[in-house]
Amino acid sequence: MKVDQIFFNLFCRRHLRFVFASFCCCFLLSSCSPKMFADLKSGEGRYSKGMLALFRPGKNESLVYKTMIKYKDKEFSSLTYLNALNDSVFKIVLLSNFGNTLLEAEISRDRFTVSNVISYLNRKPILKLLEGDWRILLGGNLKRSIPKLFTENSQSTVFDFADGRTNNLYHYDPVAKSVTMIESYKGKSKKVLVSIDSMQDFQPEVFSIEHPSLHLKITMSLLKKASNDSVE
Amino acid sequence: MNRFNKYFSFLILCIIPVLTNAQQVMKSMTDTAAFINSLAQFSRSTQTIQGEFVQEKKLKMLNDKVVSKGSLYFKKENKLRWEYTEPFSYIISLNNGKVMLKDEGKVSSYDANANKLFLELNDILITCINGNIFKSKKFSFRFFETEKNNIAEMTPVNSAMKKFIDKIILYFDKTDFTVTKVDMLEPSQNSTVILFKNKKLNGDIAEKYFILN
Repeated sequence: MKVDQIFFNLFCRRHLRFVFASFCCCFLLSSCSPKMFADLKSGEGRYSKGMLALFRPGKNESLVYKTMIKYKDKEFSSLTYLNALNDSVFKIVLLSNFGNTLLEAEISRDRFTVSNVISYLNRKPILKLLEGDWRILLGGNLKRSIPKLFTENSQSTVFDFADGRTNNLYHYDPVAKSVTMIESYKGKSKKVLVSIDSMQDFQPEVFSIEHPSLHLKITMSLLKKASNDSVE
Repeated sequence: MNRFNKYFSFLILCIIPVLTNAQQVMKSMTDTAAFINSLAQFSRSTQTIQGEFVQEKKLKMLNDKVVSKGSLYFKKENKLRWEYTEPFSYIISLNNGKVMLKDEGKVSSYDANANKLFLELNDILITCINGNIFKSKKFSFRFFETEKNNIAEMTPVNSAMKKFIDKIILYFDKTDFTVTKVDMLEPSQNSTVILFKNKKLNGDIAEKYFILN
C-alpha cells in the first residue's frame, strides 16, 4: 500500500469517525480511573469480614431511625425500619410520622425489590437514589470481595470498595473498631458523604447521608429497637 | 379418601372458622338511623374531648410491631391537637383551617386550604370527632355491632385515597358514643390500630394547646 493511500484511508470520513471515537474512549477510560484510585493494593491482611458492617439488626427486632430529609429549603421527617432477613438480605420500611407505609423494600447483594411504595415516591430516580444510599450504607454487610487499601495511618484505615466508575471509601477507626465516614466517588467527584456522628452498641446512633450536588441531606437518629409490646 | 370427601373436608375446614368468627365478632347493625342520630346528639352536646391513645402498627414485612403513644385534644368547632410522645415527640395541631406541625422542637405552619393533603386530613379528623363523618361522600359505609360496640366500616370511594387506605373501622362505645378504637387497613395489608383511653368529655382545654410555638 502506498503512503498516500494510507494517508487517504486514515483521514477519509469513515476513518475519521473511528479515530474520533477511539480518542473519546481513551479519554473516558482515563477519566474512569482517576489517579487517586489507581494502583491500590489489596486490603488483605488489614481487612476482616464484617469489620466494615455498619448495622447488626436482629431478625425479630428492627432498628428504628427517625429520618429527617432536607431537600433545598424543604424539610420533612419519617421513620425508617431496618431488619435483617439473614446476613445478605435486609428489609427496609419507611413510615410517615403518623404510621402510614411509604415504602417497603428488600435489598441484597444483587437485588433491590420494592414490594410496596406510595405513588409519590414511586419514581425511578427516587428509588434509584434510595437503593444507592442503602448499598453504600450496607456495603460492609453485603460485599463479599476484599476491598483495596486506600490509605492507612494510626487514626484510620481507609478501604475502597470499587464498582466500575464508583469508588466507595470506608474510613475505619481501629481504636473504636467502627466505620466513621463513607465517601462515594463517581470518577473524581464526590457524590455521597456519609458521616457517622455517634455509635451505640457498635451500630450508628446518629448519622447523615449528604448528596452535595442534589442539595439533599438525610439525617437519621436511632430511636430504639422496635418494641414487641402489644396494645391489645 | 375419595375425591369428593377430600373436597368436602377442605370446604368444611374453610367454613368453620368463618362461621365461628362471625358468631363471636359482629353482626350487622339493626338500627343504623338510630345510631347515627344518637351520635349526632352526642356530638352536639360535646364541647371538648381529651384523652390518650396507643397506636400499634403491624407490618406484613417485619416481625415486630410499631407502637406509638400520645394524647389528643379536641375543642369545638375545629380545633385538634394530636400529640405523639413516644417513641418521639411530634405534634400536629389543626386550628381553624391552620395546620401546625412541631417536629423535634421545630414548628412549621401551613394553610390547610392551600394544601390538598392537609385539607383532607383536617376534614377527616374533625368530621370523625364531631360525628359528621357519615355525611361524607368520600367514603361508603357499612355498620355492625357487638355487645359493647357500634362499628362503622368506612371504605374510600376516591381512587387517590384508595391507594393509601383500604378501610377504616371505627369502634364506638355503646354507653357513651365515644370512639374507643380505630382500625386502619392499608392496601398492602399493613394495619394500624389506635386505642383510646382515659377519655374526658367537656373539660376545660386551654387555647394554648392548639397554638404551637
